[in-house]
Amino acid sequence: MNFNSSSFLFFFPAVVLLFALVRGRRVPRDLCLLATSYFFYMSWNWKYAGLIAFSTLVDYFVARVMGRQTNPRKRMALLCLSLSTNLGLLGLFKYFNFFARSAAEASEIFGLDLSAAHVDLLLPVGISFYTFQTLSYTIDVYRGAIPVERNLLRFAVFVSFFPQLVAGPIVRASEFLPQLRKGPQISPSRFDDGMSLIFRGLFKKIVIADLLATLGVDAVFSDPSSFSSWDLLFALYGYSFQIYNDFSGYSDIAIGAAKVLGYDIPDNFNRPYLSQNVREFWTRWHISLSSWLRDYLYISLGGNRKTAFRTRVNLLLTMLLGGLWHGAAMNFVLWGGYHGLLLVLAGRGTERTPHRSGWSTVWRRVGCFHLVVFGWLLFRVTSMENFVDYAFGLLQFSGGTRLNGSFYAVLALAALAHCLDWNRFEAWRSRFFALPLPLQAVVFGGLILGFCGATLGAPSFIYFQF
Amino acid sequence: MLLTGQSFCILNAIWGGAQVFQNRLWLFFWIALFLSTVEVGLEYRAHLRGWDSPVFGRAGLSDGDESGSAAQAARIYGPAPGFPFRSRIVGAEKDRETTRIWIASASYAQDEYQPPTKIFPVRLEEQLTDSGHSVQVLNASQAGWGVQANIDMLQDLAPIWSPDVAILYQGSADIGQLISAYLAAEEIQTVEDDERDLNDDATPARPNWTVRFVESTTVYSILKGYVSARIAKTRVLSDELPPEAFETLEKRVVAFIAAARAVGAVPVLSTFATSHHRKDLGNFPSSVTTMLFKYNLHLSLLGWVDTVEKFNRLMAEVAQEYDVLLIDVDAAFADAPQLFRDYIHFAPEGHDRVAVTLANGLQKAALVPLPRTGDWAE
Repeated sequence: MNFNSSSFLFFFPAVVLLFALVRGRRVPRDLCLLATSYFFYMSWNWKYAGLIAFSTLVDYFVARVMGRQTNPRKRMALLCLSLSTNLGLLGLFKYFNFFARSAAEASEIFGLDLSAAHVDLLLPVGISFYTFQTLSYTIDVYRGAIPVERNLLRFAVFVSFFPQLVAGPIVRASEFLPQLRKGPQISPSRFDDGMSLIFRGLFKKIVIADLLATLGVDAVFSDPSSFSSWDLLFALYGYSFQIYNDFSGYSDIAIGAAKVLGYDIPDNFNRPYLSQNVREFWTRWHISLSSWLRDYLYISLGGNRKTAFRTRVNLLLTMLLGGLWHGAAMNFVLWGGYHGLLLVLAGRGTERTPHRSGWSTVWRRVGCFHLVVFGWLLFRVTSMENFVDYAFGLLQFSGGTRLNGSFYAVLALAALAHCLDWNRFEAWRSRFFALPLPLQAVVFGGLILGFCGATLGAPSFIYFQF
Repeated sequence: MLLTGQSFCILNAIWGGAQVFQNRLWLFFWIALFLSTVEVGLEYRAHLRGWDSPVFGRAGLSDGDESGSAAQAARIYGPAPGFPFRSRIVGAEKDRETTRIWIASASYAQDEYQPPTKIFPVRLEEQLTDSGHSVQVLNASQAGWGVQANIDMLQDLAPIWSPDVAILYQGSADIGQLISAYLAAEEIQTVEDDERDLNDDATPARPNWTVRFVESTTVYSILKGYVSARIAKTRVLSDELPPEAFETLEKRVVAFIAAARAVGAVPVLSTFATSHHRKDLGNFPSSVTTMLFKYNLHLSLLGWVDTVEKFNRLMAEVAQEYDVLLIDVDAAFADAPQLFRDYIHFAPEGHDRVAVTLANGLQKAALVPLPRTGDWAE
């Protein structure tokens, strides 16, 4: 079930009404959240709900035992058990075929003939997200940063909470479990905030991201050689805004849905294309993943506590693995490596160049944006041939366009919406929610109809595949 | 009493739940009411204009006959229990002199928007019967079906119904499937997309009830026509289907010929008729383009015209290669857009012309028994 599907239109109000009934009692409330979350997930593929349940049980019991253990070696062994189980499942479902194929290809270079093993498994939606979420819990328990959760039901809700289950944001146990213990913070203003976030997210997804894809980006990327350099460049800009609006739209809906139910999920985006350098970009883009990688991978590798060279290696390794997290394909690894390289260079640059303002800021933003945009080319291509075709086409510097004016109009809207500080519209928003409910319903209903009309086909969220 | 007490508890709980949101939950009710009002209003408008709708039911079947003819038609014509065809109800048994004609098609022949007395399979039977032939036509057509679904039905039911002739009239349904398989699939962002099962397109998965409910509404249909189709027109569209698509199509048509022969029927192919042709490019009415882009996001107008031409050439080539009769229905519709109600579906006069064209073709090829008396053309 996608957030932009008609099913969600029925599902979400039903969940809110059901939740309103049971919100006052802890066990029925948690049961309600667990059942609706599993229903949400199983509507995609019921078979893989068992995987989430298995991960939940393993991490719950590992953490319980770890909490009673004082022996550091045994605690480490338990942590390794959790890591190997979760990463093992992730590796089997997501990476096995990739590594087997890569090994077979590498063996050919050395004149060996190793036929690639292949496991015929469907990638469970959201496995990368909930695996990282449960891992953060066991690592935090191991580090002593959070107490052990003794309530299995509550822990299961933390792992499977439907708004962020399949595409994040990746919520830490330290942020979410206390909220589940305390109970939902329901209020009219939070309801209003949540609803406006849900509709903002749907607008980003359906009106901007999907239209950019359908009006130009998909066609250009599928056959770059038949488009001019101008079209290739603007399709690349288009994809940059498509992926931002697709993913941040999902995050907005997730945060909004959680807010209506009385829970807070951390922000995942903060206008990333206004960053002045790549380091800043990674504090504004997919914040929950970048902070996860920083806290659990980069710091575990040693962070910047050792030599400058080692710091750079750690940074590169972290970004390479971050790229691989997105998908089992070489283009994602290269994308991660590219950003790692940029971060290393940005780190050196920042040490030398003082912060400036005015036109300097503008140029730095434009420069950073284009560095990131080039990275999206690596991210979007379906093969290295596709990348070469696209990059070669860009360097032809040919003019003319096959893209319709509507594509450029949506692209301009996307750029404008990205630059807007939505907080400035707080007064308008408050005025709107002060209107009588029937009038608000006309606006929301009109938006639903508009979204329905603007939906061509049934596009899924890009980050579902990760 | 117990029920009343439970109901009170539930209402009390709902009220308590609503209170914590300070009645904000009523927003859902008001949104639902607004959407329902829009739907009912549009359905009533559609009803007045002669379309059927979920709330007001069927409205558009005015066949011009005397009052009560629709009810009578419903008793005479299928589908009915044990008779899954939209044509005159007959028994499974038939005498030797009767030729049974199987029409394998889609919405063009099923045409739920016309009464059964107006659709070409029924008109074909009347034409031939009036000419003195002994024939029964089984209209094995279903909206949305392509050739593969036609083959499946033929293989399932032909042993019971023993058709003598099997006519394939197909076109846009298969073209739509090929667009999905060859143009849409190319655009989807996948790392490994080499697994392409065309049979999936022949029998698409049934969507869940929420999707079916939403798609059955009038407001959805209008939004698709007015908004989605206009957006789709501004996409980067393809002007042709790749050659592999026609190879797939050829395999399907050849499979139909084999399936018909396997059940003892003489296969007959037909070209696909459209309201507008290549010379009309630039003058396509907006109703036609809206219809074309309502569900097609990939093929341009030129692409449609080109594909239909190639489709018809392919039918002719296959007919020649496999020694099968080809009836050129499209040729009978040159410069006759008034015989269509959209790009591909016929008006009642169009159904008549298809029936006449098919009847002529079958008689010339002597695929129906000689008239009992006189000449058929008299």
